[in-house]
Amino acid sequence: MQEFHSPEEIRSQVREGDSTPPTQPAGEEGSRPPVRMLMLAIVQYQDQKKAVQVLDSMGLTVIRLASSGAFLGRRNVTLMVGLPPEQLEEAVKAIHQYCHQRVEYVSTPLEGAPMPIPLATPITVGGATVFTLEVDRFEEL
Amino acid sequence: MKMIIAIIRDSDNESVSQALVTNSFRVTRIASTGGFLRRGSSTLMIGVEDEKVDAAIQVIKENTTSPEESGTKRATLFVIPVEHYTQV
Repeated sequence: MQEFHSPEEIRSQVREGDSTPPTQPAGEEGSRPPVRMLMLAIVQYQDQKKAVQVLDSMGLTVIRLASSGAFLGRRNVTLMVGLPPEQLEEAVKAIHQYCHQRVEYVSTPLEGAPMPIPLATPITVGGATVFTLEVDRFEEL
Repeated sequence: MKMIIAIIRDSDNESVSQALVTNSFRVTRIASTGGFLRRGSSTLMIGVEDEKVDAAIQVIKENTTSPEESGTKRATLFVIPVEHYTQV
């Protein structure tokens, strides 16, 4: 199991990765295990940068979709990642590590008060929702 | 029934969508980013019958242009089995 790094380390890894030419030798591409799973991870907007960085550092291609939803109807990000089954656990762990559950406050009017006095109600906002689908076929053109 | 998720470059979106529609495939486009140097890309969701998957992929293949930069891909395709499909 690969140990996880701080975002700074990951960033430097990503930068290192950027400096190498994008063309990968055919042998290296071919040696990668085939993509058999499609992971859809819905993460909070605040967490997307880190989540994309870790997944990138694992050598996965991440596609971002802007989305919104959940209880507060907040803006969030859906990440689509194609990955081999062997990397699934690692990817889920990485998302788990960087997508925190947090408490947010929503103002609700105080009940029974003559004036609408806003009351801060704490709401736990979920970390991430991950769906994994089996892929019949994966192609890169 | 299968769902094809095709991630293509924005510049190819128009021609691919048009071609799919003329070949009577139904396409839903989602704007997305990532992959190809984190630039804008289009994600197409296409619902197709099992036996038409190859035809749909062929249409996508024919209508994507190869990028100038080496190392970038024309398209990424996922074919996913669909448990239930209804069109209302």
